[in-house]
Amino acid sequence: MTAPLPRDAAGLRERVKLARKWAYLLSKRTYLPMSQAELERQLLGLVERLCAGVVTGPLAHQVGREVGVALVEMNCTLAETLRLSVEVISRGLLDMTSLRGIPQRRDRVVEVVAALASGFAEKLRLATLEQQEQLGRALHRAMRQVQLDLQASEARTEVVETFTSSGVATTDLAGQVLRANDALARIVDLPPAAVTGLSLPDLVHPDQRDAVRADFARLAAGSGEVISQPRRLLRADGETAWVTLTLTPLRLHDGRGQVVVLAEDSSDVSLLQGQLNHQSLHDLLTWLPNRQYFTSRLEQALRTADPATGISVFHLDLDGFSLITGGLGRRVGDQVLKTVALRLREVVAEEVAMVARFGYDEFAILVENSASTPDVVTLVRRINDRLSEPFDAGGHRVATSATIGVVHRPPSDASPSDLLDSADLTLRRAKGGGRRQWELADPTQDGRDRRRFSLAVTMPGAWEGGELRVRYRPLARLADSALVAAEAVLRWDHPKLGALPHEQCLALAEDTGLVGSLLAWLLRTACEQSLAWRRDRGRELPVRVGVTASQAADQELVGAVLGVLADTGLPPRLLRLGLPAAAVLDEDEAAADNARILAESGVVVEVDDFSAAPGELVRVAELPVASVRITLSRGPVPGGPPGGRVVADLLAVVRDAGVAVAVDGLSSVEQASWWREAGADTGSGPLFASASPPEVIAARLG
Amino acid sequence: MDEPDWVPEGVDTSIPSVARTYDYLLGGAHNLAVDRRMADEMLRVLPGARHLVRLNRSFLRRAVTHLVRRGVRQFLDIGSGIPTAGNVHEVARAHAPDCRVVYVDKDPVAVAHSRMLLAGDERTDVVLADLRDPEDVLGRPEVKGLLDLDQPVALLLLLVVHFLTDEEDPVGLLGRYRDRLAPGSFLVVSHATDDRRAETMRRAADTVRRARSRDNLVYRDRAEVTALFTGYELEEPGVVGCALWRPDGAGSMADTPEDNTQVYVGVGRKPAPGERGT
Ligand SMILES: C[S@@+](CC[C@H](N)C(=O)[O-])C[C@H]1O[C@@H](n2cnc3c(N)ncnc32)[C@H](O)[C@@H]1O
Repeated sequence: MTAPLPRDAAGLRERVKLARKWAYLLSKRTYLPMSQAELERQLLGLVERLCAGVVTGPLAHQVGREVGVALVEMNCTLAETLRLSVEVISRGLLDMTSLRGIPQRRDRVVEVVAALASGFAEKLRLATLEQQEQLGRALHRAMRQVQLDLQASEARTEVVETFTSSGVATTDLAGQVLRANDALARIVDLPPAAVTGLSLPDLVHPDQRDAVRADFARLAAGSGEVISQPRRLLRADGETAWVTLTLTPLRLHDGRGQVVVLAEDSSDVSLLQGQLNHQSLHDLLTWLPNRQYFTSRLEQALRTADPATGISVFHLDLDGFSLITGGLGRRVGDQVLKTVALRLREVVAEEVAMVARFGYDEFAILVENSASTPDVVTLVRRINDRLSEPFDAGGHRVATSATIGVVHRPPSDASPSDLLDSADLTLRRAKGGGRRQWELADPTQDGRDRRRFSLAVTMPGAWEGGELRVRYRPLARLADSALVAAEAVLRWDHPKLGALPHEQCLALAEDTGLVGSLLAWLLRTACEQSLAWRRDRGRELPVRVGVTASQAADQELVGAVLGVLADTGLPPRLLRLGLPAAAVLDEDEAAADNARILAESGVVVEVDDFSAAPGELVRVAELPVASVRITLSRGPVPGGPPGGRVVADLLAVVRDAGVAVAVDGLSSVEQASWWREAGADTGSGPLFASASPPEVIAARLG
Repeated sequence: MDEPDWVPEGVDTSIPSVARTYDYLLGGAHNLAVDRRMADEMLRVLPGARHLVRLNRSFLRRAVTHLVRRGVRQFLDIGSGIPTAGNVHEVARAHAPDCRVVYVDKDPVAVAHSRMLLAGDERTDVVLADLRDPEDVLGRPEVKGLLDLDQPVALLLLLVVHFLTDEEDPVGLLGRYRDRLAPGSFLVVSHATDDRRAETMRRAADTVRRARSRDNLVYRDRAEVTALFTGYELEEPGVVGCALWRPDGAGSMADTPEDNTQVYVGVGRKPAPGERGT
């Protein structure tokens, strides 16, 4: 059911404009075989479909994919053209006045565009494979056509090279392999050197071996035909690979005969034939390898991995998966599992890795580390970031997270089963900490990693043990240095490492998934402190809390803040919340939406790390922001190095919009007066006082 | 020749081929790692290379469209490369379904490819032959079978003449084609130049040479490209930078002026005897 598109002239004009712009940008990047007018017409068709997708929610995904596919079919194959399309389309759709009234417009635009990107990527992958396969065939034919004398050329050039995913070999008339490319070795899962010298029929499944021998006998007897048959090849790992095996006889100058063998991977064909012998080693739902397969691969990896980098094993358990199946049904659950499988594979796509499904909602990943493999912390974060992106399953928006046990760089003589046990134990331990937790089994070797891990993993304990504290920094009016607010910051008094500052505490907390609860605690402590000052000193002093970019965009932020305000009874106007400019500016609007809602509830919203870039200026003017803060030690200062006029002009723009200006990081009186003259209202930094216990602030309240 | 002739070029997958490299620059996937390496090398020296090939393809479309409007129905595309988006027969047929096209290339892979793609198409054919042998090309049964050389034919030589050395005498060679074509026939040429950015272009040519490609770039200036049209009357606007030949939209142009003029193009018509004043 498609809701009708708004048919008004204004809407159409907007769509035409978008199509034109899109056409213009695309045709500057890639060759599209049509006139500009034709291109604009076609793109207008796509824009109309995208709009229909936004208007009719259930269509969003499908329409997005179709458009992505259509782009590749139009010959947009460069990655740049996708990036550019995503940019123009998301901006264009969000800006359309005719779509303004659509409920959840923003979500749907995001969904349409995401689907477009995935449709594009998938189609491009298929097209690429298809083209590569064609190329393989073209090479093969060309070779045949010129009756290439392989024997003679052997000495000079590697003619049969590793050109495609198709395996190529030359055999004698009895089928003994004289040379083979790497692709063939890959297909049969043998080291390249091991293939040469083998008898090709021996590589074929016993059921078909005689038939292949007979094929060779026919060619040896002088038949000039080309024999092409679907065949099963034996793989060293015990699986079989379906290929189309093409045998082409070759006449050499000296009269001897050879056979060129082309083995084209045809798993599709075999899938159709339903004969894939995959089953014993793969999970039927997700097509991931099962535990048995994983264990063999682990065994091999332990022995063959580069000792300098080793391997890592991640054992994952989906958080609250029974709630999904219990609440939404088994079908949805299955779909979620498939998506999780896909996403896990994506996360490690760049690595030599295997993703397996162990139990109902348990997965495992084996990564054979290389110099370029991200560290464990990063991989864990990527896994959970990817899993937590909401997606559509059976009409429901679902997001997942996982708790993860990690075994990092086990010794190469470890036994796979001990290793898996230890991963499992670690996982159980991590689960004790709640959702989205992870833990490291046995941090070894790498000192830098270990330090970060142990810091991150000991944080929850340190928090409980009272090592984490809240400190306050005074925020002062520049005109008269009067105290106008206190900023609450975290500090970890680490017994060995000394005091870890706010930013580092937050970064560690993000690594462990602790950040949400830690922030709630910080907010609560700060709000209670403000109330305490009022009670004890008879003066209202607002408290300020700065959040990280990811927190600023978190859906939970508003609930957490309002919850704390309700619990403590602090009037919202006494809470100032600092959101990083980067988050507020972000296209996905999540942080901006949070800012709007919080401001509506009376909380004072401030933008941190402001750089007065044009985009920021526009945004700040649009949003109910009370003030912006420039941090001197971080990021660019408006107008470059303090240079009088420019800065003053930019700050004037901000202030004209009714937004106050704060400067953080002030360390000298001269600096403070310079900024005051440039138009800043308040300041903070070493000049006023560093972070101190609440009593220090209380003393200044008189 | 430093390679023995029994290793056919284009099949030797250890050296890049012009056809596959060009396909890669256009965004295709009919290419191998060696080709992509050479192309990437080239892009480092000449970042506009992707624009050059895009503009060339766009010119091809405009030129063929123009010729169909001028009544041409037969096309001989030499150095046609690997089929990609907007092949001559596709462009031509969009305007006149009865157009016939013969593709010629000396790269066996490009030819095998074209054959696979065009299998079963009665109005196209594909020939493995060398531009440098006009008598052979025009005498091929595929050419004689599909094209009526007594009628006007459009001879398309896009980004291929610059692979001929001066010793191979391109002007004389094209003359041999011209003499065998009927009056009213057309010649279409696109050809790289080093009239501008000479140093960059020299380094671009070096990357090709270093990659041991068998085809090396020979740039020519505007006068030399114009000389290729000896015996033809140039259609408006003459021999110009690729983007400047009857542009019809944003896709005809690049943002950098040098990219727009780094390839010279022209379309000429062979007049009937006595038709022409000069
Ligand atoms: C850069 S591609 C151009 C493809 C196509 N004409 C275009 O402009 O889009 C050049 C093609 O010319 C071919 N070629 C080079 N020298 C040739 C020759 N002497 N005879 C025939 N083809 C040649 C190459 O194999 C390659 O496919």
